[in-house]
Amino acid sequence: MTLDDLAGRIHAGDLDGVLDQATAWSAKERAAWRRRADEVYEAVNALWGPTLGERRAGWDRVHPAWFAYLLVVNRRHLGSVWSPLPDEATFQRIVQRVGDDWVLPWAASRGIHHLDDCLRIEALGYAVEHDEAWIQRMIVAGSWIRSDPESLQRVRPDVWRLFEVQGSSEASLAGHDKYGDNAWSDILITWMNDGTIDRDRLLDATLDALSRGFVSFRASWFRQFHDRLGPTRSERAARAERYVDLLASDDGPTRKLALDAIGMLEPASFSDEARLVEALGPAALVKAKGTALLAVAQIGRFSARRVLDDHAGEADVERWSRAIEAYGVALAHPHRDVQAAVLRAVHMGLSFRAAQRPPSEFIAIVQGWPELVHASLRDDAVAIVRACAPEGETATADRDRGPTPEAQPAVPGRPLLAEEVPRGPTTVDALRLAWLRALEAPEDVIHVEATLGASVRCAHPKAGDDAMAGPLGVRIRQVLDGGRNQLGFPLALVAHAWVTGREATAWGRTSTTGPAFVTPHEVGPMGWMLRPFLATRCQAIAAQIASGLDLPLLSTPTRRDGTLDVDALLARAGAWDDAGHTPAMTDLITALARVDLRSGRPPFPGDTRRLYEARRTLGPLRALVWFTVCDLDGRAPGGPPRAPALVAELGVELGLMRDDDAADGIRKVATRWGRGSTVPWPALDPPAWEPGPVAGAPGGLRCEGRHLASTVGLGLCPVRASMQAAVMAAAWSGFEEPTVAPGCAAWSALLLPTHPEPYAAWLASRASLDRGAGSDKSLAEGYRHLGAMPGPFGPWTAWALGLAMCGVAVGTRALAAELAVGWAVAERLPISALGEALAAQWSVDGLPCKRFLSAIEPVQTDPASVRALRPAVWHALRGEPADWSRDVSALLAWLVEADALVGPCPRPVEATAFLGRFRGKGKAAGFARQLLHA
Amino acid sequence: MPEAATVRYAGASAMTASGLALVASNPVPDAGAAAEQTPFYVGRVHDAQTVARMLFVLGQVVDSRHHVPPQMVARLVAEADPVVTLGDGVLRFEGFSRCCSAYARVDLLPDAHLGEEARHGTTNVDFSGPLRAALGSVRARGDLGLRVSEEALAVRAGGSEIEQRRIALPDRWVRGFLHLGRHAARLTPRGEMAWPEAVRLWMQLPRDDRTPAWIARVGGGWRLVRRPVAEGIRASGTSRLRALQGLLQGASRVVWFGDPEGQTSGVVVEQGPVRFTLMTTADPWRGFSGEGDGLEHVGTGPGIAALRARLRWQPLLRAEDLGSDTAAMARLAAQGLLGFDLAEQAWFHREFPWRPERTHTLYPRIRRAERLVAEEGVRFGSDSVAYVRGTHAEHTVDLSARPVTCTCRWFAKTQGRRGPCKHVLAAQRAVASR
Repeated sequence: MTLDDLAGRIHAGDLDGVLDQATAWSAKERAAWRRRADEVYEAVNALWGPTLGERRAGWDRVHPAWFAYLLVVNRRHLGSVWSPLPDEATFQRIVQRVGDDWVLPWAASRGIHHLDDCLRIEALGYAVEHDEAWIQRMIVAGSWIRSDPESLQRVRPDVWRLFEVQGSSEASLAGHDKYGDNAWSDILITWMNDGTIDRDRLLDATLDALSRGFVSFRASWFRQFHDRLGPTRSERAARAERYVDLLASDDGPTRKLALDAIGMLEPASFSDEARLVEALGPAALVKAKGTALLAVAQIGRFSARRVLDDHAGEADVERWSRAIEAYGVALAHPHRDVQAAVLRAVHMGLSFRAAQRPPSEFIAIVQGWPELVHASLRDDAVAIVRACAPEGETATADRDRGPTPEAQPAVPGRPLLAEEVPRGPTTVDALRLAWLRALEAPEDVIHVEATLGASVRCAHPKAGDDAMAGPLGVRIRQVLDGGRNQLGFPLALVAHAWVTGREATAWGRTSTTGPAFVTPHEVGPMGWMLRPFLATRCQAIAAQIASGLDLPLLSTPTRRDGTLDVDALLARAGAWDDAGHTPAMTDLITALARVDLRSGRPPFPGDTRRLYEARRTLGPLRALVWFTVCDLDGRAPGGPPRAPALVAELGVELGLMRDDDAADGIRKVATRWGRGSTVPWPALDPPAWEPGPVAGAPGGLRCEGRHLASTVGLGLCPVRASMQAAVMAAAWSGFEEPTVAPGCAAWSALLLPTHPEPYAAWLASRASLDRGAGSDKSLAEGYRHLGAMPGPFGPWTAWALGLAMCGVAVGTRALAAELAVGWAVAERLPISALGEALAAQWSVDGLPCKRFLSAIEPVQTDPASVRALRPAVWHALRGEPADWSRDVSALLAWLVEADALVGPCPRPVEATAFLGRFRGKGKAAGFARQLLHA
Repeated sequence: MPEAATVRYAGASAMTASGLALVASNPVPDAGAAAEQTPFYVGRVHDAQTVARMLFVLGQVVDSRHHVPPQMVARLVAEADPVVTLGDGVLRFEGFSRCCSAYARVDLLPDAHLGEEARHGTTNVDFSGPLRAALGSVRARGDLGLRVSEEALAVRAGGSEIEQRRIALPDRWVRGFLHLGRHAARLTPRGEMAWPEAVRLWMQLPRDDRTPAWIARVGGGWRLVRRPVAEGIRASGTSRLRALQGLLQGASRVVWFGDPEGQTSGVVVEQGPVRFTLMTTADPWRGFSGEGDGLEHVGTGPGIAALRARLRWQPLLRAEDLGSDTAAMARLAAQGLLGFDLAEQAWFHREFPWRPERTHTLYPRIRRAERLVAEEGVRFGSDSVAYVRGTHAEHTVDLSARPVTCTCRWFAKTQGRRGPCKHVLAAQRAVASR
């Protein structure tokens, strides 16, 4: 038989003829034909034309052609037989005539798109191997097999192997879903929902797949499927160790999945917490900065919170020492933000007596490869290492680089950071560069303060208008031309004075003389405090520079955290006294606001009356103020001086700064305080404030509705100091311009170390306003600062956090909840005030109930947190929720699910009365019954 | 088309009471004899997590594919399993990526494991996905037990089920192993970095970059640069290096190796007594199997049999130990009898599960050269010049040049960097047979 004969039979569609030939061939003849397989293939191909239409025309000859090729090809080439399987009758005829030894190899060689062929062959009784290629065929068949129940049932036993096979670039679950539909995830979810497959096994298989080291793209399907399954907290807790295993994954998104899951769990969920913390360090070594920061945060979450407690035991110290090793590993991350987070955490931990162990990895990196630490953080890292060194080495190092008298650690026992010693520029060129930077970044308060201080000390050698020709002069003109609404505008005034040696009497349309800056948004109760004050202060500094008075600024902070050492302040004030000059009131007020009151002792030792008598011009005023502050706080029922008091009193002064004669105002107030009288509040109240009940609170002052948080704070805080602090917070939140707000946040952050309560209020008011505060990084940063404060905190902070927990922004809500719960567990926060805040929020709108629930979601599994929160929730539920049927029932459900009713009810009578209201009212009634039974 | 050395597994792998029992291939498949059932290693490792992690990465390397040649038969490429060697207390697991452009080896030095029973032997084992999942679940302070025999590798690494696979060991792998020793012996240390530096460098590596690149210490730190740098190491195809990322944290040292011509590079990650070695070709589309360097030495040479008789599964072996020279050691390596330990800069003995006598038949170039000789396609113009029949023309081979040159297109492209062409081989064999 020739090739033409074979081709002729194929052309004629003569299957029987081809089959007859097949049986007639001897093995030798068939082997001979095998060498001509390519020719046959070409002949078969020639049957169909190059276009689809012509191919259809030859469709009736497909089986003879296919079989003819099958007869002659080597098994190795079986895979190239592309034609689909013939109908069953034809197939049976073929098998009967030529035997079935070729069927299984042919099935095994079928491409990824021919699962249907393989299934049909299996249906005929052949055992097709279910190897990796089979699974890949299953993956690709996902789209059509969903609508074919019979085929679907036949592949169901192999469904678990979908989680074992990574697939290829042509056939993977991720690729299939990317370019197709969610076929397999839909199928699996459907089977899970109808109970065909076990949900637990499905979750385990997903985590198994993620632990197999698949490439990132192919692992993405399993990550998405895991999220789609939405494991509950208890399911995650049951697999806590699996998530810890995933922290070692090379795939960044998989690590993030694990970190997210771990973030939802409480320490009690992990059988080996040490292993978890050890795994978190390497987990931070991932390219994505966000994931790395998340890992660093988790280290602190599982170790730092307890060690910060004064009652930390040996186990907690051991936990911290492990954590600090993990931090050391994370320091190898190249990104500055990650390194900064590590340094902050290590630094904070070293502040406490329980955690004075040196981190070996940390030291190894800092000492062995300092270039790996970001240049801006290197000094801090070195300082920490020095602080961790053995005693002998510390003494030597301190002698070499000993801190200045002005730069003592703010917290006793805490190692001093190098950056805590503010270093201003010391040369003209350096100061010129410093000014350029200050004008570009006016929110960098520390730098601005250092530049201001240096400008007073350092006269410009080329004073005069000619100096305005350089880059700095050009930039100053640009800023001044830009108008007063820039935060850098007052700084440009000082820079102008330094460069030219004279004040900028007029610039463009703006007159810088006369009354303090008045712009439309500064008129009224909001916005009249901080910014004009800063502008006035800058104006005073510019005047001092222009006059050539080289006396030091009183207010330049001596520590990086913005505080001012008292001795330094006294020395500077003495220099002014000796020179016979009076410093600017704004400078004095700023300096007083920066005095550190955290020690709990009066800031000024000795007899303040002696100071009064010893000083000539400044002395009396200063002594009066100091005496008043100390004396007033000393006589107050609260005990030692409290930061809000100082802030409030200074707030009064800030208010008085509206007058031209600011010094007169402060003198009047100081005199009254010195006599022990009270502040004449009615005279100082802004006209826009109205007395009256606010948001469920018994009384208070109402201002604009958008500042509800501040207003509620006013109503509930009877101490006048806190009231004024709330006013201040409201004022700070009133700055609308995006260019101004971050700057003000940074300025206000200066006050944080000494005045946490108004800072909390500021954060709360920002977080509770519907202005997209969730994306405000300064808020998150502020909460982190706040979290580092040791406390205890008063009702005002509790209020602020309670309000923020129900705020709009998701991120700040969670941060506030974390702080509130942490402090509540540690009993550093008045829980009743927290409940009051929640009640006030829920009474206004039911929605915050849900926000509250989402905020406390990460801590719900911790019995201690639940116990701490329960009284607050009970307290809050006593109010009149506006939408009880939906949100309150959710709260009740949470109480039931969280086993919050274990133990005695804090207020059984009130609880019973409260729950009685839900009888017969839908879903909530069921929960109410459970509560009552409990 | 050469025949693949088909290696069949004796039975199904399973999770037994003693651990994860993985079925290995028959070490002498052509002999068909029943393999000895006694394990040549039973023991456990000390740092289970580190070893498991390294074996996991080895599995990843073996399962990775950095290049897909157009004519590659995917099925042949897809199936490849690591080779396990035990010699005098050193346990080695080694394997190639699917494309053969990356070679990885895990060395467990004697201090890394505690062997209850340790003899010597070589086998190749199934390293399937379930095993990798089990290795991935090994935790710190966990337990990892090994039992290696010529039939199986049993791993105690948590509860998982392993399914059997039937594997054919491709010729590419065999050829890669045979070439590897010669390439590795040319590598010299180029630099050492600590783990934080290594982590920093690896995090900066592009995910998959095939453009020419070098790793060098530039500007005070290790960086990936795009131009040749003195003392730099060729690092094209960064996806091959990225597999090591998970091993770097805590490594006691990371050492780079390079050769003068930039044809091969290597990196060794040491975690105490456990080492991970990765060697890569200059470009991801070049596999060790096709390098061809040293093809002229394939086959038995003078004194090889005597040298082979002195091999005693030594974990470290230098030419002077055998009273031989580097060329003879390379000849032994080309038969698959020796591997090269980069960290120690020394050879080690192993016996691959195939007969060294037939290794030369695996090379297409050698087979074609022999065919040319058999068909009298070689004629000599003088003692040093040969004319060899080519596909379209007759090529001139200058046997006196170093390296031996040819006028064929392939030699013009590679300039002898990837071994002799078939014409050179034919000419050399014809000279030898004269």
